[in-house]
Amino acid sequence: MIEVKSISKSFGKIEAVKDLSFEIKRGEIFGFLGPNGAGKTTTIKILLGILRPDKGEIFFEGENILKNIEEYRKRIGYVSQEVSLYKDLNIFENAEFRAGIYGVKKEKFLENYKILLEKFGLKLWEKEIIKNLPTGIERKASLLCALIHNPEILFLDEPTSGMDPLSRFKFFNELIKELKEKGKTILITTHYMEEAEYFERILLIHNGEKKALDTPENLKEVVKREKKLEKLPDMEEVFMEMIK
Amino acid sequence: MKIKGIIKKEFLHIIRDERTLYISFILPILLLIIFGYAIRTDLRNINIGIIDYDDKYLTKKIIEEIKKEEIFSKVERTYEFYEDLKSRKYKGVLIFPEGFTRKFEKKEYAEIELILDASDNQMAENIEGYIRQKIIGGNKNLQINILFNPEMKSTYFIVPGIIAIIFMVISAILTSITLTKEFENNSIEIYKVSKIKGYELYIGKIIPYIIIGYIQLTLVLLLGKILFNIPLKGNLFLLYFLSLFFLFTGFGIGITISTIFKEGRSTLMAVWLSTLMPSIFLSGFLFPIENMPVFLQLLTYLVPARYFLYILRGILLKGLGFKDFFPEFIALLIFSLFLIAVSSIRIKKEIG
Repeated sequence: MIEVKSISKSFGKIEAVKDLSFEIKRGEIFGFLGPNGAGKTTTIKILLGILRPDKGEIFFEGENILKNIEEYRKRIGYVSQEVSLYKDLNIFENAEFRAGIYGVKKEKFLENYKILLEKFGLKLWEKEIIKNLPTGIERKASLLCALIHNPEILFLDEPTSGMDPLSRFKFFNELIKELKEKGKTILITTHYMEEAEYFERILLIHNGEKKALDTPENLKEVVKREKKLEKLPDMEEVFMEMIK
Repeated sequence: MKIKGIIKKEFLHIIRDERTLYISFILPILLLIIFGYAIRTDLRNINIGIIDYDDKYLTKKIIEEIKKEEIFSKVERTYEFYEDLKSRKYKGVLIFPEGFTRKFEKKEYAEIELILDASDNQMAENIEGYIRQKIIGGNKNLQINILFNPEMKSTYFIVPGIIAIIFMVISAILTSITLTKEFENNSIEIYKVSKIKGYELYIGKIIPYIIIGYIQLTLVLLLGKILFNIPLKGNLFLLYFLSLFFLFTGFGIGITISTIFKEGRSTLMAVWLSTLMPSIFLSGFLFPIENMPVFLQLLTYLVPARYFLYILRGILLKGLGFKDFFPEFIALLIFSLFLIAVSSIRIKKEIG
């Protein structure tokens, strides 16, 4: 669905992304793992078309995204690392605003909103302004807003940071799973290695370079074989091995 | 629909943000009252001494007229002027020489003398203006008419200036607040990844503040009328129409500066400096432009408030029409178009 062909991006002397290539398949949950400063956010911004790569191209269904960026943007949704909801507005107002700037019709918006609110279990919080919401709820609300124009692909930049373990578990096992069942393609970045289990495929990135790209099981197998381990290693070990 | 969404959101911000509400509606009233009354207090409580060597019906009548003028708190007879002025008992002493009434009746040259304490020359000028108006302006036999209240002599002059300053400063501050909020809240990214276009964001951001601007204008005009009895001689529709161009210069400055700093504090500082200072000192609000050194005079041509102030005073005080300030309108038009262009290009650049 999305094909990234050897993109590079530097900020002054810092090479944030180095010759990165990968592909995201329709309907998959694609994990983008790496420590802080690995180049995850930069890559996402390039994928969103809000940052131009120095080199390389990105194709969406075979077409360069820059060729028809408006059409492309209509079909993607994005939740940034810092929550970008308006703190003085409530969930409904934030969602309505988002729908507005995406040109979603009123009836369509209300219908979609109702379904999402139900699904995310946010009904209780609907009329509360964002400032007063707990972090987990706030993150759910930003996800709701990113879905209000019904995009096919979702880019989630560190959606679980600041969430407690139970919320994170629920986030992946309930929300993400359900979105996948609805046919959404989801790209998630995280620096929590233990979340790797939730992804179908993982791209490991370190210092802007691709270190590995495979299913979590395969990655573990490779490390087990190479290091002649008794049992499968956890993702932490895989990562340490891969960046050597 | 897209623009409507932004407008609705802006209004929610405005309603929920005490700071914006305060700046929008309380600050203009405070400025009007503070400036309006401060200038008036300067012209109040003035004591005047009168030496009347003539002491006829005409001099008595004139003295009665002077007493009616509310800037004078004491108008009383005295016999000696030098010591009275020196001890600051009076700011001025008016002397009617013997034979004043007789000369006047014979239509001869009737002379009076006004001796002023000019240690405060502004005050002295003011007293002279009032007395001149009372004595000469009120009597048609003398064939001298002063049509307008000589400029720089009352709150009439100040209120249009306050309107110009309120418009410039507040429109720039409000638009800069709403934009820096987007930067600080990281919500500018939402616009980047959405389908919204630069001009849609620009229009959506500005419309709420045009409405607020017009509410402020109405409020200040009404209060000016109620508190200071400011005349509204000209066409108010024309005034409201031309105000729009001036508002846009304020918006342009606010938006441009906030896209440069992208952060609240430095933006606010830069907005204050670039709007308040020139509007107060270089627009003709407090200091007449004709009295400035040539260099500063040239600088005033770069201050949009200069043109708007001219238009405002023209419409409000003199009832001038569009053709009377056509050059000023063209200047204002050029400024607003230029700033609309710069600020909308900057917004477009921000959201890509």
